[in-house]
Amino acid sequence: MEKLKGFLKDLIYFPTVSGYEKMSADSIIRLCTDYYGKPFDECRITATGSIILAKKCGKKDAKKLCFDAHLDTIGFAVSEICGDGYLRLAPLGGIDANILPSSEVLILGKQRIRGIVSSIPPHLSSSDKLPAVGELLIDTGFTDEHLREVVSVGNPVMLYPHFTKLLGDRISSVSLDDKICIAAAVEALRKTDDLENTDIYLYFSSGEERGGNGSHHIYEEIAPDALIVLDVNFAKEKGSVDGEYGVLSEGAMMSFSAVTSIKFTRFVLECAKGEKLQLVNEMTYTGTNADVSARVGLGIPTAVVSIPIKYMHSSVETADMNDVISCANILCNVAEEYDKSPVCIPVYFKGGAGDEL
Amino acid sequence: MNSKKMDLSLLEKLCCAHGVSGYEDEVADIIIDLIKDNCDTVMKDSVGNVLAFKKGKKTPKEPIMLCAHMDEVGFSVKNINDDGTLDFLQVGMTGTVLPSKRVFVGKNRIPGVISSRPVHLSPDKSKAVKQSDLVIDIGAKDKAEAETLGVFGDYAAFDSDFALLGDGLVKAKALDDRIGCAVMCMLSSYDLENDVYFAFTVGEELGGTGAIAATNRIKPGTALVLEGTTASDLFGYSDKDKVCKARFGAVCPFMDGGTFYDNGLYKRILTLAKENSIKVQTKTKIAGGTDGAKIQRTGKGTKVVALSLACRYIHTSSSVGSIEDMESILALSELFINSID
Amino acid sequence: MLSRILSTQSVAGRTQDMTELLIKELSELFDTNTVDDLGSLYFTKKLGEGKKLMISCAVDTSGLIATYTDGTKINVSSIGGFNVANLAFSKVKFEKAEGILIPLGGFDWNTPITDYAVEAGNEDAVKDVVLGDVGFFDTEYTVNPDGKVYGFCAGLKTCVYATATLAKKLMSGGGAILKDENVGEICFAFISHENLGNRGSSCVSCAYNPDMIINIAPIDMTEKNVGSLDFDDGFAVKMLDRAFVADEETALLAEKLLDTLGQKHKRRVSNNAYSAISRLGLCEKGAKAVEICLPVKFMSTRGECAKAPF
Repeated sequence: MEKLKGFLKDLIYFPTVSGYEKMSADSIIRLCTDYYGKPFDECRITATGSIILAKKCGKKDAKKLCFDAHLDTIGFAVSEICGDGYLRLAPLGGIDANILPSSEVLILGKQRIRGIVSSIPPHLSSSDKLPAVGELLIDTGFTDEHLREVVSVGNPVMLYPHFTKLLGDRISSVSLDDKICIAAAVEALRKTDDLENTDIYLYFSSGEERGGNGSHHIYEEIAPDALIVLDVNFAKEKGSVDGEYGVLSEGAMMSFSAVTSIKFTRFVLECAKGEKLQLVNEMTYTGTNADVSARVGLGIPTAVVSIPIKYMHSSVETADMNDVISCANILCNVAEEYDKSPVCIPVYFKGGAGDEL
Repeated sequence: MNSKKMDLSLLEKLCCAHGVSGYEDEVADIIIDLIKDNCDTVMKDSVGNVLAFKKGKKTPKEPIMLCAHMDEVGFSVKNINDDGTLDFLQVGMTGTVLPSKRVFVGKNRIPGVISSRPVHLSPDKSKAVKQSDLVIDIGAKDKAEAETLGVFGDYAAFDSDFALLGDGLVKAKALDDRIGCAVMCMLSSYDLENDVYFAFTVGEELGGTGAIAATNRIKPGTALVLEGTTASDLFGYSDKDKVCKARFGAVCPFMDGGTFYDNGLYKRILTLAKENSIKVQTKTKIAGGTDGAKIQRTGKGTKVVALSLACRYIHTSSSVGSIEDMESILALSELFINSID
Repeated sequence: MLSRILSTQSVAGRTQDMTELLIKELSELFDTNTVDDLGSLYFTKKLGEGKKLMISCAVDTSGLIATYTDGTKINVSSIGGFNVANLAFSKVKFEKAEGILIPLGGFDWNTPITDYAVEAGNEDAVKDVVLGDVGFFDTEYTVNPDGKVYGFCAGLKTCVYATATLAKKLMSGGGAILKDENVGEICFAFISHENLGNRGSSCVSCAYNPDMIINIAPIDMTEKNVGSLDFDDGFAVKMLDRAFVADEETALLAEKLLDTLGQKHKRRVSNNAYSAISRLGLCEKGAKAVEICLPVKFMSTRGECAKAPF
């Protein structure tokens, strides 16, 4: 458990702001290899910045099972250097301006410098109205001249990282979306026995927070026979709408959705065995990479498994590490069952695979 | 002239089958059975599309793909309430047509009803009920009874029969797009000039999940999409606002909300219709969408055209279309396929 | 060439006139020219060993489409976005008929396009109109002595001009400038169907499969987050917008090419726009991309203004 927490913390501290994933790709590969305990059978970075790690069974016509957890996190890019040491930012990914006033950020220029999101003192502001993210001023404390030497327009910015241990095995941090799923995926791979007929691919896709760029290429890069998209989902918190959330510490969640494969989803449900799996229905839109990857190439049967977190897309995303371990166990079972008898394979009722189809 | 008659019993079989988006298997199985003997290759791909290849008298320069979607609008059980009623999500419909309808839940066809508000007790009768205030009631007395039936995440489809209506019209659920499926099944039994690919797709009502996979596998140069489209030819509407009209022919749209159809192919269909005295019309409003949107821009791009049934009350439990229009679609599709070189 | 491009209509759905002009102007510089199923035109040439580069721009303008005919009137819907009230009473030309765009009721700044019709004043001509025919605004373009172009869709047309000129300059001498930058294969793409929901970009990209893409597009000067942008700043090298994050290597290549041709440029970020790069990048393995933009004022009006480079 402690080792897993340490792995997750290191993952979080390597910035992978959406659009700038490559800056930490090598470090993250090294980190995953260390945690996995041995080199991966395949290990590369794609042209669009996604990381691919694989555990292969050695057979040429092996089935390919893939777990997709997105590498990128929400963040910002410097849009303007204003003067007097102030910056403005453009949001990358869905950021609610409500979390920002008086938050801290880390600006990744030639040096890493800290910035404070300004807020109007309560004595001087009369309204509750929030400025748009692009209008907020970030105070770096530098002089204008010095700032311009160190930072340029277009540099990425991340929410200031921390890793806070709450009661029990609960933790709070930035970027649990989706680093916590990356941790679950590597942990699952570490626990899975050697398989007979199946290669397992981990696809840490880029660009999810901005439309699923990386997962669009999953077919050319890997062409999986089945895919589980791992993302975070909402856990019950103050203000949650009934029926649209899971509960923290009650295990992983799985989405029923017509965008993904209901058949494959039911298969994953059966594989959960002893682990609890909270079900949600997101019929028309999952809000994850599955919305993209279920629709590329020749079609990929997909299921969405999530780890519940509270306060998503804030600097204090909160999760229970036991849910991570439970999720990893489920993925492990899926891999072993899929190896024994794969599902959702194309079937020929007349004629066979050939030039026509 | 439309020489070939629409096979209404085939259409009835397809319309009465259940195939809510995501749960198309029942419809897929019927279609595979119907076309197996007529085609050279028939397969179901990993996302559930039924794809078939039928050899014709010659091979066209570029593959021809016909496409109709197997899925229909419907519901999915989202949550089981403590009192045994079911909260649901819906695909593709407006809330106003839901209250007080009958449904079947899941493949065991558990009968259910969609609630409506008590007319005597509602404060504002002029406003429609919000969909989130509706539930499906299967008669369960509590949560436990409903849970034993395993209905979470299962689908619900309208309970609506197939019936002839007045002079030459038909009423059924899912004319969109079982009419397209029926036309394609019938075409598979004809002697066609060209090799043809038939793609019965999944998930169109959700944005074309299956169409992309089918297009990538088949890589067509020409695609004909067979669909149901929205007719607003109600009494009292101005001609311009009717979009398209039942009994006025096969609908060949030039553009809709998702696709700008290939102008050359659109004009060719209008010409074929004129030369063969087949009724054809177009849509006078840019509305709706088809699988064409995804087919057109997947991969290197494809020329797309569509032939649709002018369907009144589309996306409801009682959609209505004209048999003569269906026969026009059948006749024009055959002529179109045979005209390609 | 600028005046030829400005005077050739290229409304979405009817871009053949423009693609024919571009083929005439540019085909001798390249090995191949292809018009794909959606009407996009692209030229390619092999230069040697090195990267595959694509330089692209959208070629179709906004316009109207005939949805219903009634006597002497043609009811219409819009293709692409524009300020309807600003274009009221403009001359519109279809293939078989022409007329004036008038509101069906009285004039109001908020009347939607579906309550407008093109009044042709001629029943016979209207009878020849096929529903689905595309019509363009027959509006004037003014090129002022300072190089600024004013007119409906001037921004887009000036980008087409910029791309075509870039082609002429970069391909002169068999593409020497590009060879110097280690470009092994070059493609210039004029993409259609962009005003119809951005459909054409991914198709061209999937057909050509570039490693790097430089897209040329207009950028709205008045957008708050673009910062201060002046016509005299030259090309705005857009590093970021809602749809993409630019690749540093490609940005440097674009800047180097502009330097070689004596064009000014400045890096910019947009918070609101959605570049076509999100779709251009959907080729097989994805591509590294950047967008270089021409600043535009009064976007989507009949007085849209851009400055022609070169």
